[in-house]
Amino acid sequence: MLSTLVRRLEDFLFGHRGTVLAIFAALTVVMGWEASKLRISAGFDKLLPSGHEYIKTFDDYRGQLHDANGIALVVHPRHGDVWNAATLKTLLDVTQAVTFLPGINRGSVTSLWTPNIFVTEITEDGFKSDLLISGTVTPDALTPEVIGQIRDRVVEGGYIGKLVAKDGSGALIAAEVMDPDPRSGEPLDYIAFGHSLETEIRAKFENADVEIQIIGFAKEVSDIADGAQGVLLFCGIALLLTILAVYWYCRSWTLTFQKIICSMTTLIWQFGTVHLLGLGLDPLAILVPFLIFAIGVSHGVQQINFMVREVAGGADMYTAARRSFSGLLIPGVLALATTLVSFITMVLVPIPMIRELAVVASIGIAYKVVSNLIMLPLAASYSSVSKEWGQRSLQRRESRGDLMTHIARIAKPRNAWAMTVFTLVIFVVAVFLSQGRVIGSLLPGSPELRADARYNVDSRAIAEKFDVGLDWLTAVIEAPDESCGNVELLKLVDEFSWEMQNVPGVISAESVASLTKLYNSGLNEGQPKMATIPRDSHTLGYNIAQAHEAAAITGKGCKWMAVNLYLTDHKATTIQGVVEAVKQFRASHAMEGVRFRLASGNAGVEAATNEVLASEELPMLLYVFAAILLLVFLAYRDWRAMLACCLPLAVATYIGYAFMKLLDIGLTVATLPVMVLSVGVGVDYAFYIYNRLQLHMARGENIVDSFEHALKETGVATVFTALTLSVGVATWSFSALKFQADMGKLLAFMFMVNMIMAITALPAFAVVLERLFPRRGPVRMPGLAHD
Amino acid sequence: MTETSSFKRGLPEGIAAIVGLCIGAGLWYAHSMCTASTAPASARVAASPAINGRAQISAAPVADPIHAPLYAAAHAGRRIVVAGEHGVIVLSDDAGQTFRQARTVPTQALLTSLSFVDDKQGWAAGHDGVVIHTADGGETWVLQHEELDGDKPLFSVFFRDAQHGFAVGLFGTAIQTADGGKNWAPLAVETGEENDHHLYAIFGDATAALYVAGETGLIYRSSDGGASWNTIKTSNPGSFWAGLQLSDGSLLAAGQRGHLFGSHDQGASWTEIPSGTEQSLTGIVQAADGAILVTGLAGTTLSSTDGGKTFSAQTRNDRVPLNGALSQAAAAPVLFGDKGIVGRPKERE
Repeated sequence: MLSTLVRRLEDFLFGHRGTVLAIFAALTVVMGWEASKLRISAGFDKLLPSGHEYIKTFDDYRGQLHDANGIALVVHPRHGDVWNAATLKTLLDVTQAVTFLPGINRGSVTSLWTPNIFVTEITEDGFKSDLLISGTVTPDALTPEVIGQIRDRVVEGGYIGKLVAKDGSGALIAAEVMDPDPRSGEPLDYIAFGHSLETEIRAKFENADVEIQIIGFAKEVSDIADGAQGVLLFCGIALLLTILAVYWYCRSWTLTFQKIICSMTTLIWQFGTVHLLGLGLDPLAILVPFLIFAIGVSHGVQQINFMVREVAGGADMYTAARRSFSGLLIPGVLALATTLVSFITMVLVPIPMIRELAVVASIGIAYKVVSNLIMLPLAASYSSVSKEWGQRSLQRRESRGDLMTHIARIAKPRNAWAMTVFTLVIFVVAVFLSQGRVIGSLLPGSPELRADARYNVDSRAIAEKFDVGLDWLTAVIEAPDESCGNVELLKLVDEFSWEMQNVPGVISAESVASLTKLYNSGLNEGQPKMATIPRDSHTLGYNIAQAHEAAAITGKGCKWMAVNLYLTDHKATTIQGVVEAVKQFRASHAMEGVRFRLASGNAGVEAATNEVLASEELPMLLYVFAAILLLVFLAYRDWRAMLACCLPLAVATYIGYAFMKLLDIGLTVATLPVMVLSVGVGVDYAFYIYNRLQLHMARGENIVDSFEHALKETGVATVFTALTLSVGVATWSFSALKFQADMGKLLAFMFMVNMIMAITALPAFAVVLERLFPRRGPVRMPGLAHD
Repeated sequence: MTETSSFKRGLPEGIAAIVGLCIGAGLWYAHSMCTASTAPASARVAASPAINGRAQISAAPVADPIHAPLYAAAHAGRRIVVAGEHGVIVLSDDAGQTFRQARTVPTQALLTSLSFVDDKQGWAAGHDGVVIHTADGGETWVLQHEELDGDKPLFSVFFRDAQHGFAVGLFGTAIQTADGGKNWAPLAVETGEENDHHLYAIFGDATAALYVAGETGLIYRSSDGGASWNTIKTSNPGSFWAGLQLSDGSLLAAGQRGHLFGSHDQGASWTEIPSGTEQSLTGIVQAADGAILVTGLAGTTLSSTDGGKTFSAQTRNDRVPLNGALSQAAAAPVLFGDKGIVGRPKERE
């Protein structure tokens, strides 16, 4: 039934091969046009797990809390401190340059020189407020005396650690970024904005005397996008390596380029479709096209392999291509379907970025069926190769196959048992080693960039010298309207801040309570002993009204109050500890009408992401394995095949986890897909080998001989594919982006492990299972397989 | 071919299903072990008793108590006791090298003042009219006085002996005891129409006189153990926040905006001493060797080695607000403030 269908399809396609190829070519032109319009785009929201409790809080209070889309620039003299005329003048110049930068909210720019920075003094008669640098001070009038006065006023105004480094080694300029542009309504082009910071500020003001440090979300996004451009180079290198490797394998430029072109065609279709869907190419998803390309190569090698065998056997290229088509259609579709299913399962992760990645990847895989299983044999049928070439190729394969003869010994029962035990031991060891795997990221600054990237170096420097929290978690306390005079409520907020301050990993807590205390002290002569929440509700209401001026800490009528917890770092364990502490507090301090909500701030978002990743990872893998088991069952109708194909994959996956643990590669939005994808790719190897095995066994060979033949026939191709792909992806380790380097390392490793498992553990398991549960009936011929 | 025959093999399929489930369960178990081990050491959050169980409220252990805001310090014999926000009390038995938190403190109020009469008996006062007492040098404390109705902070507590003590605070609040704090009675430091000035410090000695330093440059003096008080108006336009009777019997009072005053006639007349700073001054201590140290906001310290005739001002680089100091010798004070203990004696060489 199935075989008839395949044969009809074969007849139809090869009968109209010119037309079919022409249609493909036309499609490629159209898609190429669309693909040329595809741009790299980065979005923050895509990384948020939608629907998560914390993200709802984040969304509800977006733009109201201390999550302002701001940038901070520090003018840092390379020698000495900022208290000299030259540095202060540079600070003024940079302040002005930043103010006039497109995309900056001008009114929000603050530095020592901006007219929105006041020094409030508490005198015997009350408050006295003056500009920090009086309007009469000009940059030319910066005498040591004037500078001394400015310096004293910075201290009085409490701007040490805010506008001037704690050790005086730098001065800070803070500004808000406007996204979207309030006039045009256009979203901000972060990449262009980031570049303008480089060209307009850093290039102009950074010199031998002064360093300009820049941090902020906009800069981070732009730096990541720049780093992502580099990936094109790595893709190029990988492409070149692949071409050379394929040529080395088949020794025919015609076949090599047919294969590469077929693989590239998928990419063009895929990019075109992505653009038609209105999506951009995210730096995080840049791995997908390469992966699709890689999968294409892996299947293409199997096609070449098949054709070589046919040509060497005396068939002409046309017949060889036809046989290759019908011979590989079933295992090919099966393998691609498995990959497709494993990609689609990622749609279950409620993080739009991963969903997008899943969609983009699935599209690619779907096209792969057309380009690799149909287009390649069709194209190949036009090429003419000699029988000698085929025989030489086969000989080469035979000689390369020597290695396989050694490996095939694994199928001997005694060795199979040993290998099985060995693999199981490895499994246990891997499970053990993978304990305590990192979730999220460990390094300070932007986890996407490398630790030594300029952005992260600047982040660390600024975090060390200024009271700037790079990592913070905001808890929002919601209360009934008009709660500002509610003493018990404010005491509760104070209590909460105090307890959170004592949770490991929390540096400080900032809340309406801490501000109220500050104002209470201020309204009482600045007496430090008055830094408490007043018990008188009128006094309290008045203080909060003052505190309210300091935005982003409480809503009108105290309907909501934010508690910003500044953290030492954004390690998953740190954040989780804080989240647990908040949950514990809210459980034990219930108050009528009051609701504690987690959590905004970068750490709140990260907490949500970590929770989602940690909870989704296993179910997702289970779905993938379930899908594989189902597909294997459908294909072979044999439970032994299900086990033999899946056990090596499971072992490989845990070896991958151990690898992540040992290399401190965290489970992130970037690495979760890698683990899933690698299962999908790994199963390909298993399918091709198992398919040949079934074929030989169906012919009556015993399992040991069958394996030796199967390994000789496809083992080399499998090893070759894995090596080529690994080398290609391994080049990513040099990427400027940390997550890409991590993905590259992990993916290269997984390609190799899956390959090794497929040629060692898979035969061993299959043989052991065969011994334990001998077959009663004849072995089924797998779907359709030509000799 | 034999497409249907395969379905007859029910048993192996059943086994496959079971084995499949086993793999799944195994993965699940292994995974849950992974995630379990990444769970954090449970955060240290003290479960607080119910709000209405007032008597049970006590200061919780703090991860880093010496960095809590601290407002007062005293010697209990050789021990150093420092008190501050949220009922934090820390003790040091090695002259300020290391500190530990007191075992039980029955309040979470901000503690503003300490007074010890010997190495065991001591009192601390603070917001909400809190007075707590220790009989074991600060290890454990009991609540003696509390007023939760409105803002009734006490800023200063002073015990002449183990029986007689006084505490003063906001809006002229003052209380006294004659039985070691078991019973407290109101004390009228200020009389007349305007009797609600803030009272920031009470000091003096057991024999001669008691002094209270207050708002708008007012000093109050009692020579009969607190029964009657007279008011002295100094030329200070702002508040006095701290006062001390020096070893030679003369007096010092310091306060808002760097004002520093001295008196050599038991407080009858006061003259301003140039302080060299406009930062508000928060505390005065005299070391055993006679050296005087005044602390202030924005990292200000004033020191005098001539018995308080002249002072020289220094500013700490970190500019942290200092709330007070405690010193055995001028060179080695324990300094504390909003950021906790920020200065410690150097190790003895």
